[in-house]
Amino acid sequence: MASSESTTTSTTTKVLRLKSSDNEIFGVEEKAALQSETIKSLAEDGYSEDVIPLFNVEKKTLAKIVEWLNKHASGSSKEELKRWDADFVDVDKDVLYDLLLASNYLNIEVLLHQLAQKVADMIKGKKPEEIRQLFGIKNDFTPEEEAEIRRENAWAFE
Amino acid sequence: MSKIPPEIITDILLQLPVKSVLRFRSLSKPICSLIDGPDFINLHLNHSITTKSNHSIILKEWDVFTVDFDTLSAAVEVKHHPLYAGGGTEVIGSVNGLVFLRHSERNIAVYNLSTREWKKCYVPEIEPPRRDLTTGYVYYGFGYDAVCDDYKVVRMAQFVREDGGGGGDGAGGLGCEYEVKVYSLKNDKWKKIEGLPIRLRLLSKPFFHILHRRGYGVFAGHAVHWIAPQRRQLGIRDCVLGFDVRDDKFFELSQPDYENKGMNFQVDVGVLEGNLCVMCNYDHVCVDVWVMKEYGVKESWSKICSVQGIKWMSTFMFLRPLVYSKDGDKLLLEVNDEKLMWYDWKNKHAKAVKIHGGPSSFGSEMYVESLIRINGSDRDGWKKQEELDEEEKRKADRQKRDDFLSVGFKLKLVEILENIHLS
Repeated sequence: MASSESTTTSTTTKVLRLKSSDNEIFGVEEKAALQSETIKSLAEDGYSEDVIPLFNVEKKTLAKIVEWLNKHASGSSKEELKRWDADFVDVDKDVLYDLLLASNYLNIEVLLHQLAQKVADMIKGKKPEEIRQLFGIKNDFTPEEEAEIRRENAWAFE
Repeated sequence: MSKIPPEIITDILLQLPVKSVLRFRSLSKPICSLIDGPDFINLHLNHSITTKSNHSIILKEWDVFTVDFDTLSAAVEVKHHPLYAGGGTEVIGSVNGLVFLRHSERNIAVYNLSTREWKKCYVPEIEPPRRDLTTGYVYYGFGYDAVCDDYKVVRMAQFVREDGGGGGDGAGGLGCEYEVKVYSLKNDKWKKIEGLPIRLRLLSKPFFHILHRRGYGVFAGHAVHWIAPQRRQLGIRDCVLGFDVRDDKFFELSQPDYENKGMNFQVDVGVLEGNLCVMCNYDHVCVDVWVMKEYGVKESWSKICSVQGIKWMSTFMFLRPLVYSKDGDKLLLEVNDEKLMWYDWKNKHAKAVKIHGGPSSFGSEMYVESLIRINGSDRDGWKKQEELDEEEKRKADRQKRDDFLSVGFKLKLVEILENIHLS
């Protein structure tokens, strides 16, 4: 997939400028920024010389994302990254939620996976009612239907 | 957290253990149908396999135990399986979250250990081909036909002469006759396999005797495998016999070029993360483990390690690789039917794994949790199975009554005939 653009830009350390929804601008090395598929396609669409607007990400979240992008482009060892990632996702649930939405919007698959894993670890022992509240899921079962579903795998509720 | 987009919910659900996923079916209708869909079921299984999550090790003894792979600490007895009767049930194979259970030749079942869905298999009679033969050992294998998305059980019944002769362990004999039948879970039917390979006759008894091993087939690639052991007297080498579960045919698989270490060796067959492997045991002091990286390609056999020179474990009667550690640096081995150990082949260092609450002697098998369905895609499968069992029972009762009636009728007939004869 060596396109003409990539051959001209790969030798210099080009910096992309990312703008948060609340107008804060972050300079990020291209190599780090392109881990986001969304930024990659925006850059390919000609935004790369200019500021890349990220309308769905606030500055406090974008700062965290930029931190992650830089770390993952820094050539750290596998073990070090593992430790660093564990610390990175160790945040309260509101921050986690913002990061999840942002990594989904920016399409950073590795990060999205790490965050989803963190949430999964957090919720695996919880009751359905707690999960509905946490995720804003509407229960559209009738009481009879719900009782039937629970009965099918009653042991999983023990 | 407020509303989360559905695609993120899917990502999160994929990373949960099966028990949590089943519980979260009750969250809402869309989530329930997502979880029940074949795409999600396959994605969840693939995720578990690639990340080595939701894995456990089954310890097989008089009872069935599982040990969580992440912690490798405590063994838990599995009491919820459908053949549970306080012992005597064996796990014969484990594929995609399903296990095949045997309590007796008449009592076998396919069971998903993680969803607890099951199906008892109808069992056909084993029919010796001649009157002077009786059934000897019965070997089983469990495999998955990816083409037809079907799970299959292979049953190989050995026949021995009633006077005890004709055993497969005879030094120069032709070995035993066999009857091979294969069961398709999808069709709930058995099919008799014709044209059995001659090497099958030498699948011998001593092999079967090895504790917890019992000659059960090893599934890898698209086939179940057995070792037909060498016969030095006959100049016959060990043979890896495969049974292709796609077309139900036997074949012989090429083996690596074993090293000659100036010692006798015995070959055994195993599976390591889906790849077939052979363990070449040199006089119980050294075991080479070979893996066939590309199934069916002889050139792809590669020796991954040679286990020897461990201070606290000098004799290897039996050794089988189970799984690589998550970082890929070590290999988990089952040794001599009694120990699990981590083997670091770079430093030739071995560390015993201490399992609490498990049996002192066991065979082992890797298990990955899955949502794979046994009774088709409808959730009523479980109920239907109960109804079927009920129906089966009624049928059997009716048969008994009919048999009784027909016996009565025959007696009456004999009586009438005798009377005619006398008069």
